[in-house]
Amino acid sequence: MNVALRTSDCIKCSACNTVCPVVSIDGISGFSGPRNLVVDLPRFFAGRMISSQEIFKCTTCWKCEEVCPSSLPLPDSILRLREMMFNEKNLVEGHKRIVENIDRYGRSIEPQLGERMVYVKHEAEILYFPGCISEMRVTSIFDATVQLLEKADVKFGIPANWVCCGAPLEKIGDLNRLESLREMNLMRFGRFDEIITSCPGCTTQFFRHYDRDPLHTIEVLWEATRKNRLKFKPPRNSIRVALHHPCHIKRTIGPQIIDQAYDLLQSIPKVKIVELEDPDKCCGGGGGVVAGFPDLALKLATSKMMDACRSGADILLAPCPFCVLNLRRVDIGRVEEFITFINVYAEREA
Amino acid sequence: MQRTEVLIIGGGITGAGIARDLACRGAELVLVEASDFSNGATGRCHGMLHSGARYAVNDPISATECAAENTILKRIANFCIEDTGGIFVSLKNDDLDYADRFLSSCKKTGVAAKEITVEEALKKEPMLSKEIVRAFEVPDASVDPFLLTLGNIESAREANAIALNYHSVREFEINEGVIDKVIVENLRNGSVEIFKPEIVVNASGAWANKIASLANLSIEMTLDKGSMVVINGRLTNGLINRLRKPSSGDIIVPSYSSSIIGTTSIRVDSPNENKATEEEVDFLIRETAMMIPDIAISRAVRAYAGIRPLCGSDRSCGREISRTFQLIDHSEQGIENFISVIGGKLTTYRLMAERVSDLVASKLGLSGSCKTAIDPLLSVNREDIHARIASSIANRVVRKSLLFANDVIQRCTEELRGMEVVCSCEEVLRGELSYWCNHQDVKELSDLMRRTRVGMGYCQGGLCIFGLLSTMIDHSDRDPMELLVRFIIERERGVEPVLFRGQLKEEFFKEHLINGVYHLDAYSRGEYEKDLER
Ligand SMILES: Cc1cc2nc3c(=O)[nH]c(=O)nc-3n(C[C@H](O)[C@H](O)[C@H](O)COP(=O)(O)OP(=O)(O)OC[C@H]3O[C@@H](n4cnc5c(N)ncnc54)[C@H](O)[C@@H]3O)c2cc1C
Ligand code: SF4
Ligand code: SF4
Repeated sequence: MNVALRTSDCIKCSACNTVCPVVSIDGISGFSGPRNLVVDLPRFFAGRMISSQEIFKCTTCWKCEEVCPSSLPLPDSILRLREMMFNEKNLVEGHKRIVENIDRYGRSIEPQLGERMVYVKHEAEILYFPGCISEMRVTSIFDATVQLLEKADVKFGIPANWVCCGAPLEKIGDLNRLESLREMNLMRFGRFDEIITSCPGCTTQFFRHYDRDPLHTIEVLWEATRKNRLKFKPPRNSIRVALHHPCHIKRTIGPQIIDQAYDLLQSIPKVKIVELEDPDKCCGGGGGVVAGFPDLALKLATSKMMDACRSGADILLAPCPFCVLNLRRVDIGRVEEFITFINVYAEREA
Repeated sequence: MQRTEVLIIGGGITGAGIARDLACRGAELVLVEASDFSNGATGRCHGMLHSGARYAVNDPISATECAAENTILKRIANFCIEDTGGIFVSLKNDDLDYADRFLSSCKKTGVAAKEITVEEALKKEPMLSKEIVRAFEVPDASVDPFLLTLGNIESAREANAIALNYHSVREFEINEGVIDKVIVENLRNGSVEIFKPEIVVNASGAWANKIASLANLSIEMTLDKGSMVVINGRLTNGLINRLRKPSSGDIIVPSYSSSIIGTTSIRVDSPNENKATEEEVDFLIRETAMMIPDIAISRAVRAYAGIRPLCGSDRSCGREISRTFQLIDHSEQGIENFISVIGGKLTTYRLMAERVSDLVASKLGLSGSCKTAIDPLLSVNREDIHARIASSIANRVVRKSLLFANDVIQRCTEELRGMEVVCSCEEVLRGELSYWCNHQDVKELSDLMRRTRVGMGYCQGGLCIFGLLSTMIDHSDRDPMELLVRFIIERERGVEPVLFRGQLKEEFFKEHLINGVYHLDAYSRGEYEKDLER
């Protein structure tokens, strides 16, 4: 179905534009907003779309769809337009790099630390899919996840020769490459149906394009604490933390994971939770925006970090490698990845 | 009292075309229009620049006329024409012999039709039904009837013609078989103006008989209502026609950001019975969805109807009366200086105007010759416009601004908030509105709509109404509530027959908005409406 048709039930309330983080930073002149891009403009073209770089500024935060009274698939339509517009020769610098890295290394980023070892210790029952960022940028996520899964007695293995899940390719509209990555991964997943991921981007990708129902690490840990397999020791001094609600957890995988994250935090003694003013405000890390429009992503991240400082938190916790990467570009405040933080205090239940 | 050589009654495309032609031949003339220009059948037509193909089999004269005029208009009036081309398609159960007759008739009448394979057709128009069995390519195009009419009016004005909208002819004073005076009411202020013309041209379309009756004459004509539905979004690249004996629900015309489907044919008694019904909407969606299935799941934004004045009253079916036009010199009936012209099509307006002007010119003894087939309608000076404004917007603005592109762009770029998009459905800028608010022709908000397309999109004035009204009252001393209520009534008329799914939700939302912002609830609105009627 074409985009104009999918979005034709718009009543023009402009709620979508009002909540769009990119509009709030760039103004309607810099980013004309979801309604204009996927409701108004596509009506002028039968099955075609003009080329405009503007459409690549959307962080796919899914906020617009959440508030749309007609529940129109707005971010999905933005992705659909990116797909229709995809032209390898016209990519912005950052997106070109993603494609090159994928072709060369099977990863969306350039390897910096050399590939990690394949980790299969037990007779595995479930797969852990680390994802590019956890493997090679915010590596603490990889280490922490592996340790936590061990503490919780999860019998997991890491698939050999996995490749990028394809989330960044979906964001830049390259569905052909995405398809070939998908096939490679599925082959390597072999007999395993169940997958654990530590990255909301991978999680989303697996259910959107792989027809799988993956588990996020937080879900696994939460389950383990309920079954008394994990317990938490207190930090030496009490710590005040604030939790960022990553868009791709809150609005695409499911808000219950945010609740579970709070449950986990609450079970650590001497960790005090403070609330952010707008906890699910997008940090700018998604949608290929960090690669494509780094300045815009930085402004969004700065706004988030200011919120964190105002909240009085010592640490801002973000359960998403993309968020962590982007938020750490800001000079103020301290950001820690959620799983990494939890891991410090988690102990195997005797 | 004002003397003039020619007085033209009616500012639809016919009147406007005649005004341009005669003015260019040097006639001194006044055109009066009771409402706004193009607010009769002209602005309520389907917007199809016929290639002639539709008439090839049953009405060869019309076909030949259309084929010739199609080429001429694409040359002289390209600013208001989207040369999209069109396709005729036969469906599985359609009479396939008709397709063969169609091709040979096109050849005979000079219509450029070419058979293409079903695959080619589907490639050109991916939304076409997979059920089509034959397809023919023709040079149909999509034309903006408002711009075409206004273009003719402005061109006539350039040649010193006077054109007045909101001027309604009330009475003739007849003296020894000659219309001596024409009494006209100026609807802007209720004053009466008297014209003393040498010749009166009645180009009042469906009202022609009413005007003739002012001279105690009658014109045999029948009135035939045709309805159309505006579907949100452009579903096709070009026009799609059903290949069969012309009937209802045959045509899809892409126009700006919508697809217009039509038409129907229903006998009516008065030119004011121009409202589309829910039954017609249902019928048109069902019928055209056989060619473009997505129409069935698309959003119907609005429905409207125009009245065809058809010459003669003898036959029963509107579609069998020739669509070519009739020119009546009433001197045969005892009124020396009175000419009526009725029927025809938007596509052939120029030819009609030429014939009428020939007759008028011979009566007046004018020597100038007709140049309307050669001279471009508007000589727009596009110089440095594109440098001053982002090019995608510039194209649209220049297209709509007739002769005034430079001034309009100036408003957009120099006025505070001039570049602000007031109507996002149709991408209308505040500067455009502000220019037109100051134009002599503009009285109502709907006049701005015909000139800029503001309020014509899927929200039907839901969101732009605020910017539209605020711009208007910056430039006019009219009562804003009156302007608002009039505009809402006009828009609602077209929305009523499509109140389901998307448009129903939209109307509920608008009701809240307008009530919330202007305190215009059902009661206070009723009071205003009563006031307006008085
Ligand atoms: C449903 C429909 C669809 C059509 N589709 C197409 C198409 O796709 N392509 C095409 O080529 N043609 C089409 N036509 C035909 C075309 O619209 C008409 O032929 C053309 O618009 C007629 O223009 P006109 O100026 O003669 O009449 P009008 O546009 O009706 O103009 C007559 C004017 O006279 C004015 N008037 C009336 N009384 C008075 C008075 N007392 N004083 C002053 N002014 C007065 C009226 O206000 C009106 O504006 C269609 C027609 C209809 C009805
Ligand atoms: S998904 Fe987020 S960034 Fe993208 S248009 Fe919607 S609100 Fe804006
Ligand atoms: S929130 Fe939904 S209905 Fe409202 S303007 Fe945006 S797309 Fe349209």
